[in-house]
Amino acid sequence: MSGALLEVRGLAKRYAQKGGRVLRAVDGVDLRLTAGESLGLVGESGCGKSTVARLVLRLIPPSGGEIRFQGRDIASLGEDALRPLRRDMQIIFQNPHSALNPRRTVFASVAEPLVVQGTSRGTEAQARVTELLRQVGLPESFLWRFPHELSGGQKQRVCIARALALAPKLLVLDEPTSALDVSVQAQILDFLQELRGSLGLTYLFISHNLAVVRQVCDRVAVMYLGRIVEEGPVETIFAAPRHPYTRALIGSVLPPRPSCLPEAALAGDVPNAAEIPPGCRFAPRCPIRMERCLGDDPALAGDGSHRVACWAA
Amino acid sequence: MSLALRRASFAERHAASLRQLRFFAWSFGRSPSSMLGLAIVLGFLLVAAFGPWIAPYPLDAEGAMNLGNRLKPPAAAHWFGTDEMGNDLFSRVVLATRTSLWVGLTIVGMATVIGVPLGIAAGYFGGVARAVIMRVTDVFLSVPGIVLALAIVAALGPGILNGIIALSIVWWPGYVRLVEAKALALRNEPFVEAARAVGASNLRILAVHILPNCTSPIIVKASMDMGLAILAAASLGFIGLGAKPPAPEWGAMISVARTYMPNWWWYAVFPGLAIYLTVLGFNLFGDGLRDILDPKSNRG
Amino acid sequence: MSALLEISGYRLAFDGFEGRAHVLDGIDLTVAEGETVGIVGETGCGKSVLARSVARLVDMPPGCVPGGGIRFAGQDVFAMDQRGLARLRGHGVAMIFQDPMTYLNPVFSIGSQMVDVIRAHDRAEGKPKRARAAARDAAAELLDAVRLPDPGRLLDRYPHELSGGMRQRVLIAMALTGTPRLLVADEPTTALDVTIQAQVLRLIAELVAARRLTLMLISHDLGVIGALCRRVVVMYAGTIVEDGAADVLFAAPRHPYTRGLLAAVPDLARPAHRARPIPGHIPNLLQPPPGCRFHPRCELAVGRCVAEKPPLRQVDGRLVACHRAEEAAA
Repeated sequence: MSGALLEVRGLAKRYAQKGGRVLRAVDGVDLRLTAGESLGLVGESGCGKSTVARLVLRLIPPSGGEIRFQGRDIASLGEDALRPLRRDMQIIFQNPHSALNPRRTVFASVAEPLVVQGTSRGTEAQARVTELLRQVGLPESFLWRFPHELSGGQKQRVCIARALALAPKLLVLDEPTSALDVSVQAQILDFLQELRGSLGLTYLFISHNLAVVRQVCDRVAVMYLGRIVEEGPVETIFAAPRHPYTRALIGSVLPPRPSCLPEAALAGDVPNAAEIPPGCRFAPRCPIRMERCLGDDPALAGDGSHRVACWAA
Repeated sequence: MSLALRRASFAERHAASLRQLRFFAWSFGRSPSSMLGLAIVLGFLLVAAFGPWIAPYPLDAEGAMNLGNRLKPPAAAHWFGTDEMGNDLFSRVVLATRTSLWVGLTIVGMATVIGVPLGIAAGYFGGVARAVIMRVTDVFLSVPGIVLALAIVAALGPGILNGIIALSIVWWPGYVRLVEAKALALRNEPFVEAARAVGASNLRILAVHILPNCTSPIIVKASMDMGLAILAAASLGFIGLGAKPPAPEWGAMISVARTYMPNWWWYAVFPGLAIYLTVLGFNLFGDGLRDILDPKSNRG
Repeated sequence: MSALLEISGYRLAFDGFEGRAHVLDGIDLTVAEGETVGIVGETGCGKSVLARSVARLVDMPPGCVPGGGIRFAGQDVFAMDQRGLARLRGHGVAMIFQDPMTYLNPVFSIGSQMVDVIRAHDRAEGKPKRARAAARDAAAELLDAVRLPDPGRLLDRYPHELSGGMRQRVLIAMALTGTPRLLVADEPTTALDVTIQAQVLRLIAELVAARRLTLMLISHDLGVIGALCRRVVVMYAGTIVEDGAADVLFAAPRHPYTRGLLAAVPDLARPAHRARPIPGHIPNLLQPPPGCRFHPRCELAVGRCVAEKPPLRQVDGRLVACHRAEEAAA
């Protein structure tokens, strides 16, 4: 097993659409997370990265592929069989404003995992929730507040407290800071880093913000139209990206200082996942497209750590 | 370190709810039309509660006959005048309020009890359950409610109880529609996903996360429907399929009164005014509630 | 260069349940014709209401202006009548917003919406309204100007058929109909993906240059501001804290908040730089802190910062509102 906490093979999610079309939101994704590491999953909207998050946690059933969590395939487990496993994997959502039930107090939200999993209730739950709030840096007085009385950063801390309540091993972070202001973003990122160190957590960190991923991740996987096109250690990917899409993505990042606009490396729009082109799916937008790319679909290949799906790489 | 193992007091746990209530009261109070609605609704409830003590001639509501007093115009002794039996119209209108209140409450209550669970199930589970529930609902919605109610009363026989049953049967589909749409939207909210991610059962999600977030539109609709249900019951009374004279009921009173128009105008005008005010009051009140509970859906 | 926009001592407040929120507190900002000004700040700093104020798009009540004013091309915006406002919006000031879908009517085709806008502008300018066919040609030209392929066919399509980037281009085209002098862009690319963001920003930059527009770009993203604007205005809690040339301000920020903001942004090009949070959180504008509104979070705060509101003053080639700006060298 060599310490893989999560191993995903050939993961797919298809949605039938009107008119017999099939939307291939996730189209054959392989991922591997070693215990304690932090893997960044980056890509533009509609590339399927959030769907991967939900599949990995089995919030939605996959259409194909394997999801091995702690060595056990959970791809086809039913809700009852999943319930005990859910203690070990939790999720933080992008928008803390909608991740908390507006009708429930902070206490009720953070205590929900404890109540559902039957770990503690009553006074004991209150003590545990107070402890969790302290851990995420919120005072006890927040227990009986409602979400609308909290700032964005405070809400995200409450969400983190809820996710930590069951002491999970894997934390899926779906754009955890994109709805927050930069000064608050830095607070939350700092805190997440600290948490990973102290609790030995494993992160699947989903983001469109490359600078954030570079700061908090060990490895990064780049997704385009439902498939991973490049994967490797953070340093390698950002220093020497090999896939033209990764290069375009990095090239489009605007540094926080006066700069010239990047030469628009990519023309056109992100295509629809219902109309995935044959051959390499990136070919229609690719600046270095070759004849072969239009017919042959490149597989993710390379040495052990850095892998690319591109004929030109 | 004295970590509070003490259970928090009621006041501590609900301080935020109280703040919220104060905010609702404040925003409600800023709208004159909402306040007018509230005043009318409160007046209606008070009259319903204390009717027998307010009405100067309570026996007149039970079919007494004072033929010497027939069709007297409004005066100090009879504020609203008298009817063809010599009964005091003010007493009859006041005592009919209670009938209207329980008619409205029963119809809206039944509709909610039937419609809300169906709507939540349809919206949250989707798939076959949704298809079946929504098609049945559509069938009910495609027939004009009052026509369907008429048919049902005709089958069951006239009378106020049968009228209520008939109106309840035609009233629930509106709630299914409303709640289904809301539950459908809530189903994909991150907080519902978060609950599923910790292993919460469907029942728990429905009870704790979906239903409480559907209450605002339900309350708004129910308060507006109170007025409409009272109006519908009065309509049944008017065409002789609801309450039967001499039982005091606004619709039935107007039904008799129309033969005395226009010379004895007060006979029809005062029960009519009562209906008008009640419907207006509940509508204004419901509008006001929508503005504070559901500000986003505000007038589309 | 003449001043196109003059905001002086402008204050804006909103009355609500909990009292009066002082959202803007004495804004002084003069924008000359042809400048590209970026307004940057975090949620609640007042940058969006300031932008909306320029075209008098803030609802009053609940809003109210306890002091100060805004002049556009020498005319007092708050003294304008309906005709004057109609001319101002579109002909003087054009706005584009973060979420283009909200500003397009889903039930009408792009063409019919643009034709309506074009004809409304004709009326506002007191010219005879163009015929629909002529207006349609003008719409196609505008779509071409924002680099949308095949404008003729695009006119017959509906907003939901377009991608986010295309919709934003359509809105930019609509903003250009009245040949405005000032383009106010409020987070124009925040909802877009990075590769599309680059395309839209490039378009805005080209239009501004080609049509000699004055640009007021509102964003929370220092990168977007840095790419498009020569001048940067930093706002915090309803006040302007620093205002100066972009290269000066980014290189050597003088206000402690500007420095905090720059340090909080992770930078792809400098992986060694760890994003540093600003301690504390934004103040409650119902009871803003006395004196300098940043003092509760400021590491340099002294007694004077609590007692006295620092005015914007010239320090080291830019305007700063900080009593200790001289000591706050980077």
